[in-house]
Amino acid sequence: MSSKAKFSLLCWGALMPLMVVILFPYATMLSTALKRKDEIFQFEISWLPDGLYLGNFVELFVNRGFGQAIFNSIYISVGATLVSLLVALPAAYALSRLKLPGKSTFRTYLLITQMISPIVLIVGLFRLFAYLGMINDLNALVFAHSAFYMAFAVWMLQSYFDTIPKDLEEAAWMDGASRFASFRRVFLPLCLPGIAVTSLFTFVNSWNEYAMALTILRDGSLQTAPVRIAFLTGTLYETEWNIIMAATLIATLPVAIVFASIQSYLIRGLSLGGVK
Amino acid sequence: MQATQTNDLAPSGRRARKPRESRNLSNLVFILPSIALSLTIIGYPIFEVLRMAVMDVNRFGKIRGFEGFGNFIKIFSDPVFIQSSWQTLIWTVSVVGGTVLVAVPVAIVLNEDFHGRSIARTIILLPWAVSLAMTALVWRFVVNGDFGTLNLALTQLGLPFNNHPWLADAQSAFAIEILVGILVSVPFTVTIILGGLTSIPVTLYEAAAMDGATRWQSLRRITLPMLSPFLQIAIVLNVIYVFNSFPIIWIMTNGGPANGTDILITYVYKQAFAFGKLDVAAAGSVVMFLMLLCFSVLYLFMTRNRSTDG
Amino acid sequence: MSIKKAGRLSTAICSIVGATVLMIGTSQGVFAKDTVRVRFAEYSTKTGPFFKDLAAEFNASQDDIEVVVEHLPWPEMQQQLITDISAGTAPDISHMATRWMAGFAVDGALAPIDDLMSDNFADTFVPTFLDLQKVEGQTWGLPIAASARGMFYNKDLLEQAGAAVPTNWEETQEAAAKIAALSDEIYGIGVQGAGLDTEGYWFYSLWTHGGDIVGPDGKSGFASEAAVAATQNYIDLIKSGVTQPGVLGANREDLQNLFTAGKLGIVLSGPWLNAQLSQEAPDLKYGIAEIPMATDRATYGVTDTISILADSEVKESSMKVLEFFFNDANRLAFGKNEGFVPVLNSMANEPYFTEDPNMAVFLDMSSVAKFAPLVPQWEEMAESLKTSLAKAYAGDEDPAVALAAAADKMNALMNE
Repeated sequence: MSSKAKFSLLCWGALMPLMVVILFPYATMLSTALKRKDEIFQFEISWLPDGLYLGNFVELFVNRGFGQAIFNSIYISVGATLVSLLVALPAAYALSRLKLPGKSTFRTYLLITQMISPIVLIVGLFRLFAYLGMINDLNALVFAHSAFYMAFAVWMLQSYFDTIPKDLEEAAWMDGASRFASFRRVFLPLCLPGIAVTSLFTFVNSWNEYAMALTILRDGSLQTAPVRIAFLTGTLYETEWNIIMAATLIATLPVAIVFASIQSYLIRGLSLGGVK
Repeated sequence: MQATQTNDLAPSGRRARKPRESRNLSNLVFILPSIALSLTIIGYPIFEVLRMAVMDVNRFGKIRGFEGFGNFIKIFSDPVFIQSSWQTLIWTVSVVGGTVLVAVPVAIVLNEDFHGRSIARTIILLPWAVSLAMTALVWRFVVNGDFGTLNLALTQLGLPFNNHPWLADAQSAFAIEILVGILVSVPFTVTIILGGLTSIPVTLYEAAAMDGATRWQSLRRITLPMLSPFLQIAIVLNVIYVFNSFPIIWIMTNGGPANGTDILITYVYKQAFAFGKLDVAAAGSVVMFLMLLCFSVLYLFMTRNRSTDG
Repeated sequence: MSIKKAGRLSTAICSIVGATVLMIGTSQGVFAKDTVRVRFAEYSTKTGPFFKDLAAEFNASQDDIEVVVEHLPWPEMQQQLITDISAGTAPDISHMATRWMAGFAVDGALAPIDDLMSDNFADTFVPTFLDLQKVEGQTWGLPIAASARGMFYNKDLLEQAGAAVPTNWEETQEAAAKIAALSDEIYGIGVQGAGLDTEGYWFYSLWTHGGDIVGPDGKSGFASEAAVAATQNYIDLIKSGVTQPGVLGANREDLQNLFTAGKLGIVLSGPWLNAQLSQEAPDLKYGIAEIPMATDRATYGVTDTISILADSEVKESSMKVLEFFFNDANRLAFGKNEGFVPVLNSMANEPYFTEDPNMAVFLDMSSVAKFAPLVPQWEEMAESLKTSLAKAYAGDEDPAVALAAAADKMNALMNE
């Protein structure tokens, strides 16, 4: 066995306990999502369903409008990611590179915006958006999410910017590039991994956010995936576990795809470090 | 963060400062959009909370009169509030501590070059892909005594957990909730640390290797110190998010049995939306905020000192 | 809704912009018919579609009123309604739990309907259920659903254990012990210790032991002698190991699922369990009897309410909609759909309720049904009761001591 293969085994071995705990609920979801409703609460339970029953997935998309909910979630999450990057990039750049009065006040302010849970702000948030006439408006969620998750984006980006040596940009200025050109050509490519991680964070948080989406989007056709799942299943007397599990599996997919695709940025970040 | 601290500490020459003041002010343009966005969205709700905290308010937020500190006195004389505060401390420290202990080694392993690394990374990040509410719901099913898959698996392994009711006493329920809390916080923390690891220049390790440092020594002397700003961020943010984390406990045990798993956020939620006491809930929120503020100030102060010492 | 509401709000703040929007809003109002927004909470996945169909039928039948139906799951209902009322975006008619109604009425969110109802409409209701919607002499809503509770028993398990259907708590204890002895996987009787309606499970015991929630002196009856005996009754079951394991972790659904799976001999539950059993365990042989007695015959009666909100601008049209929903045919269809006890006098002799043994017992028991009191702070009282019960069931505290704490809390809240 090559030494890399041995090392790989070692790494996988080290990660194994955590992976088991992570994958266990997924195994549960898969097993339950493939069961008929009457197979779940039986005297003898088993992992394997009686047959490969896909009816829960069909039910979700055909009768319960889950496709629409996924679309709403994607719209909000992408929108929130873009808006928060749009305001966070200049702020983080300024914090890292520019002279600015009240820098530490601004940093404290950002931290404070994170300290109050949206749950305790629900009544105020709802009144605000009602006043703005934005109840049942997907864009309300775009702004609400970006306002809550922007602080982290600034923080994270600034932290990345700080690790990029200043002399690289300075060298570019000396070569006659304008400040903006050096920002775009030298600085931006270097901090792409940081931007990727920041986007990931915002996207995922927005994707999973429940309390605000529940409160502001009332119309069934506007609900996001997590709210839809809760709505589909929360009748008074019974939880439909088979449907919940199927929906949760499906809601995981888009995010898992984003995770898988964004890793290349992380790895490129590593190789860039090697180039320097 | 460290780099800007040195910026702050070393203003570039007193004489140069005056003429450039206006330029510095114009730099505010960079941060104004972010301030405007968050002030618009979060500012008013925060004002509402502050106002309700000192008012006598009905269950729909209509003000009946001025209350002063009455609402605060009410919560501090409620034994459930005190109990919830202690449980919040246990919850936050256990979840954040556990998360960091798990996430740092995992991130270091994931930063190594091995076969199937991107698959491993995706798997580690998976818990983050599900909304907290859904995770909690799925786990409630997993740990169900009679029909849950945890007891099924443990029994199949020959362990005596057939029909064991995990959520029936406060201690084991709280322990399970803490484990779920750790599980969902790990991906976020691993991502931050992994981001930090990729930013450490390889040249540092090469130089250390040339000086004959072992892997362990480079880990201690290079990796961990270089990670410290990222760890700081991870800890502060995790404390804030975990302290305020609502769905896991709400969905798995609703704070029970006998308030044994209530934390402040579930306490406040019950006050507001079950008991119709928006004013008491607002006062509780303000107290929660002050607790977090004290923590953050203390923590940042302490770590700042340490990092300038080092 | 949004144009009108946005118009109203902005006039208050900014007159010029507001006035324009308001003009648009009212000009629409003049020509449009009354729109009545109705919000339902879901008892089952059938609830939403059922009322949507009814609304379509109503809209097609006349030209003055347009009904719009929204439906929500129960767990989100309370929070959504509170935020909506606080921001002025609530529907015209809303469904709610009757135990929230008193608080909502006292805080001015609901409209009294006594003067809105047409003549004789009130007389169509079973008086007990309509009376429950009254607080301070006025009627604040209509009983949209009513249920009583009974004792479900697994016929096969009782037979295997050689026990008869118990009628009192002593026999229940014996039967449960025999059933529990059958196997490690089988439990005698379910006792609920967590989640929604935990206090309700205790009321069965409280009332059959002759206790009351509010005592004759107008103070809390949580710590009366009967209450302590009622609690001891459950503690005895728990201690003797004839209940399901983990009483404090078991909510209503957990018990129902155990019964559905055939693992539980006896459970106290309501008519909705019939629906789950027919779907998921069609082969399970079960019967329903009255709640076991100690000194009294009793059951827990629960109603849900549908009310017109105080902020509604179309209260009269809303009442017309409600009267349509509550006509004999529609109510009967609803009752059959969800398996609830009749709330209209006309339904009481329907064969569906009297001839089906799985429904008849609930109808019989409605005459001895007792209800939770209509006091504004009920949710908080129930929560502290749950806490005390958990301590007593776990054996952490003596039942008398634990219940005294809940009684003190209730008395303090009644004085608020």
